[in-house]
Amino acid sequence: MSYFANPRFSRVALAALCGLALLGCGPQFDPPSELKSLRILAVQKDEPYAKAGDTVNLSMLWQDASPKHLDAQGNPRPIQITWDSACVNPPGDLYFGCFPQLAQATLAQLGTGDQFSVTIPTDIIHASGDPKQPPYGTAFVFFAACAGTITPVVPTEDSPLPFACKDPNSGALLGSEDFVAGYSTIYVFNDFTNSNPVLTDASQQGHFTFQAQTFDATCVDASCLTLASPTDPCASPGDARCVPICADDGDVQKCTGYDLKPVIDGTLPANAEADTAAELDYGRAYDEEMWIDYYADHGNFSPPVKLLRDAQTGFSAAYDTKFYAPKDAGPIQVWAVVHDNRGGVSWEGFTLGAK
Amino acid sequence: MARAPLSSPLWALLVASVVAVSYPARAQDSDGRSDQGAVPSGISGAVIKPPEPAPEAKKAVIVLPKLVHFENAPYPPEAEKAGLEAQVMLKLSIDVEGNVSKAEVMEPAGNGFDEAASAAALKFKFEPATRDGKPVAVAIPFRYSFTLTPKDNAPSPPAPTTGNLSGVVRIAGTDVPLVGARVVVTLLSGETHELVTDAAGKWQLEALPAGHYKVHVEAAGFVAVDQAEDVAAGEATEATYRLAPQSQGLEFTVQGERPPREVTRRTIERREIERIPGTSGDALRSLQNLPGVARPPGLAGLLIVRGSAPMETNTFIDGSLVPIIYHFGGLSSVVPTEMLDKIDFYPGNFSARYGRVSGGIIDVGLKSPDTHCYADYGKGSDKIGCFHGMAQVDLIDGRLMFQGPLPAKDWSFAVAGRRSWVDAWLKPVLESAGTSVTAAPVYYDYQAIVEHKTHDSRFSARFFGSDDTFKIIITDPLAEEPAFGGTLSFGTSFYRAQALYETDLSSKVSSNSMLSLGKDKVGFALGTFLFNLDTTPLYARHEFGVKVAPGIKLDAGLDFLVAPYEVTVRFPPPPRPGEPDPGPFVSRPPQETHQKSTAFRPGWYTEGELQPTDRWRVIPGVRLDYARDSNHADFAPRIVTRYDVVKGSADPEHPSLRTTLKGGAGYFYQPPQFQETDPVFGTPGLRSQRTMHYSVGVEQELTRHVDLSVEGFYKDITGAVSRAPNASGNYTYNNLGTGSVIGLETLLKYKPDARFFGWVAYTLSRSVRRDGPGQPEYLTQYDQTHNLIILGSYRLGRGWEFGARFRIVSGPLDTPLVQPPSLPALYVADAGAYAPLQGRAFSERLPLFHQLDLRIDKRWQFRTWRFSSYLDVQNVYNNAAVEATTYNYNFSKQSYETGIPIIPSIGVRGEF
Repeated sequence: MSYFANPRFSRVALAALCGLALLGCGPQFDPPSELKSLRILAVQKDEPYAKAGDTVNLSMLWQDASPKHLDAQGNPRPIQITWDSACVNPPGDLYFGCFPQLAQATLAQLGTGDQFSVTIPTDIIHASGDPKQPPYGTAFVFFAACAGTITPVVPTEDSPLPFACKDPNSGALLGSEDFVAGYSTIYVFNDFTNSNPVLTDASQQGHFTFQAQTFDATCVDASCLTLASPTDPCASPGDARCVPICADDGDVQKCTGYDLKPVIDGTLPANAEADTAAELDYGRAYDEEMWIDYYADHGNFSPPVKLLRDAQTGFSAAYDTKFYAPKDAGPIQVWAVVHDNRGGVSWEGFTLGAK
Repeated sequence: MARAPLSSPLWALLVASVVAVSYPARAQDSDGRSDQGAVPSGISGAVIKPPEPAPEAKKAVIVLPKLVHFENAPYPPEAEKAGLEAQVMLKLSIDVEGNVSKAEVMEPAGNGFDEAASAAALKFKFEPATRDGKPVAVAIPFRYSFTLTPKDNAPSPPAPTTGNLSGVVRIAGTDVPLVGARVVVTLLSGETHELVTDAAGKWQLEALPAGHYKVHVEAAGFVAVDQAEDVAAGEATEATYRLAPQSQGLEFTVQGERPPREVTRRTIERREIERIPGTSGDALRSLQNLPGVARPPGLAGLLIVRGSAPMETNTFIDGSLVPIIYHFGGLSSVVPTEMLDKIDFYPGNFSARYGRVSGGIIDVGLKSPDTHCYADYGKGSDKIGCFHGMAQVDLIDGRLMFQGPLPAKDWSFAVAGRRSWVDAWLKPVLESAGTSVTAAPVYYDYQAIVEHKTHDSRFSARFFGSDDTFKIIITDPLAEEPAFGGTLSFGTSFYRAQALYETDLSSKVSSNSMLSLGKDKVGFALGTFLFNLDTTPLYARHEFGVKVAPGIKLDAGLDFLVAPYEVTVRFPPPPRPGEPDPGPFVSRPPQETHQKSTAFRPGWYTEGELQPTDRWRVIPGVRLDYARDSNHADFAPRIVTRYDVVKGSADPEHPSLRTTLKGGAGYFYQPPQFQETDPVFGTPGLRSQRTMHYSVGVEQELTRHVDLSVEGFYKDITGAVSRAPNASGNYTYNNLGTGSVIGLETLLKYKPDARFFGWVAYTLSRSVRRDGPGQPEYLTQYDQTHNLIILGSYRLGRGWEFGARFRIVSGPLDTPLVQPPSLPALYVADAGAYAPLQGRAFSERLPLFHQLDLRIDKRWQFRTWRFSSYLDVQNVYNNAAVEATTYNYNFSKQSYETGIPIIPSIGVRGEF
């Protein structure tokens, strides 16, 4: 049972108990659904499980919701997006084993922009430490979004990342408000495949239900990367997507909550996958686990994360959340990012308004 | 098994001896101010089992302690004014020199009687009990009575035709006077006179008309005597009456036969267990107040002993290992206090009886069923054969216990059960927090005992177990850890069918056996992760104790474990303590292992007990353990020694306070954890971790009631399991880890008396590890530099008792995040969550913990039953104690998780 003594488990358990009000706990932070800074919301791989030699295309959904996101002229500040795919099969398949490799990336392994492609080495697959699991490999793709300039730095024990984000004018280091770095792991198998969740209907249109009315999604997956400034629903009288502002700025205790959920067909094959590795290797019939992260650039969601599919009990219809209006009027961009537990991700956007 | 074998002569002492010492209290008002004109009066000491023919081979020459000096207790003035009388039942511990080393109030009477009686008893002087001519320490029950005599009972002037009648009452077979015996003299006219024997066991009636009289003498615990006496005019008639003990009586407890054999053995008495604030009277939670035991974090039900990991301390119930000690959250222990006879806690340098563990030992003994009969509940106990019951409920759980005799001679039983009812209020809390509750958290435990006990053997069959379970569906996963969503189920359960047999094969050979068969089940499932363990452990222990020669005793035993098991684990490989955070669970594919096998771990041990002088004791021991699963044998020599620089004596003419030096050293082995040797998760072929324990210390009696003990300890750890990436990039485990723990434990203890108990415990320690040669040394997560506990409980009178506990403890260790220019965390795209970038492991200490707990008890005593209630308030001043650091979703902001706020707990209890 020493497993449950490890720090991550303890931290998560403590957070859970706090959430359940079983401990005294500390102050509440802003929920992750509230976008108030430069954020990466999702990175999608077109092949969540790849094959050796495949080219995997990655797309990044990001949003600069920082109060500083407009420059003095009212133009969006430039955001530098970079990619580094130099890490393959790090020790223990752990991301921190990649740090030495990242600094040695060749030009071909680097990229910029919202999208990036990586070619999986043909010799990536190796035997698993688990004799029941098939041979596999892991390719790590690191990325960063920086409201400045990404600069290589010498890693130290107290600062292991080999790069930093600096203000191009002052040279000052930029922190978490203006700089996000992360990674995506591509698992490579000979046989296994996985699909990203599908959020559209047969006409490739996504939908949201808001206050019991169904509306078209503003965008789905790649179309969201080039999304123009949203139209304010409050500009159209009687539009149900327009809600009153709340002086308490999305406070879940004081503001009115509005039901919101993306329309997801749980019967679609991509949304009803089994955990094939568990089933084939161990004869264990598990569903793929899925959940939804909700985001909004104004206002708030509670809860910010909802379970969509449980590994044991299957699809859950009660994946709706509640939206709480901001204190300022204007259009509100809402995102629903759907994950599965095998690296699959899809998203769709929706526009609300407050007045 | 930790139970001290009772040698045959001592068992004979139990059954063959009659001890009754009785002296009156001195006139409580010697200056004559009493308006009642009280006179000295007293009453009998209690006695035990009658002489029974013992087997020839087991006969030993037993001489009982003989009271040679009786100390009169002053009558409590307030009680005297109120016209109160009382009997205080004491348990006197009499050392080998005949001094009363301890006078414990078994049945308090309140109103100042308890203090007066126990203070006086400490000044008694006995000729020590002996066995085969050698003094032995014993404990005897003693009833000290306070009675008032009307002051206006001056005798009538003698008539010329009268005579006097007097007598002395003694215990049959001894010259011990029976104090407080009731004497009824029936006159010719039918008129009766009642008297009570005095401190010398005497009584007297003067100026009786000459003639024939009936004299009836009775005393609790003795067979009454009726005798005819003739009084002649002008003469004094004297007679001696010898009362034999009744066939059933209080059990004569022999203790001190086995002086401490360990460097450190902590014991907590029942009264202390039940009254320590902040523990709700829970026995095993009370252990956390002892030196060497760290404060566990938050609601973790962990026992951290001398800087060792919790899994390095094992818990036994009468020698049978049990997988858990606390129900979930550490709310309460898996055996209720009411079913406990003893808790032996060894924080280090423990006996060779115990193996396969390198931290500490807790050996819990279940009680023998209580079948004593109480004329008034809790007052006196001269007969057995009665039933008792108990019911208790508090905010956490409810419990029942029933015990009594069985129809067959010498057989008795006890059954008990407990069920939590937190589910009643926790279910709505969980549901309001966005979970669908399939099975709300609930625990229960149960115990059943059937026992046959005679003067020289004890057979006890038990069945006990515990079950904790809950199952919920978390529909709102944590943003920080999306894997913490979906179906979450958790369950731990175990049961044991256990048989104990203890007997004396001869006056020199004793035999203790234990056999238990049970089932352990641990299940945890979260989404696609799971852990299931199902094992059927069979434990067998057998020990022979042989007295080889005077001063030399040898114990030898075997300790076998056979455990068919089946385990399934499906999890991402866990990081070891000190390793960087591997990222959200959901971002890492699980590995799975399924093992079905039989663990076979036999152990053999032998231990000597040498007493070169009456002050010096040496206990060398060796233990050999073999583990078939790892195909390794561990040989562990150990030695402990104790030396009384000054032997304690309560002799008022030659008082002395005990000073004892002690020390020990030895090897202790800890087999690797399951996942460390598993072919999927670990590396087969790992060896046991070896820990060398060293300890030295001193025990000093400061007063008869106050002891001070100071122990320094050092643990040198080699062969600790560690891991590192191999040439192929996979992590493999090795035995290259090293470490050490050094510390100092201090315990200043006021031993329980009629009013008060309390102690100050302070532990200073440092626990470090190194993952391999050349690797940096770091503090372990269980390091706790300072731990100060001050507690006490005081009986206010009229059934009220008030207690307080205050703790100041070093804050828990924390691993800080890295420094700029690095970001504090990386976004893990596959999880939609962040993985913190951590700095040096456990390099930051969180703020100091301090907490005050208070407890108030009130007891109502009725004739045949007792009702009590308590209010136990934890964290009285609502200190927001820091338990951990908490972060926002991307670890850019941090704050503290705080522990439990002020929590009042109320309980009520009835017992008969």
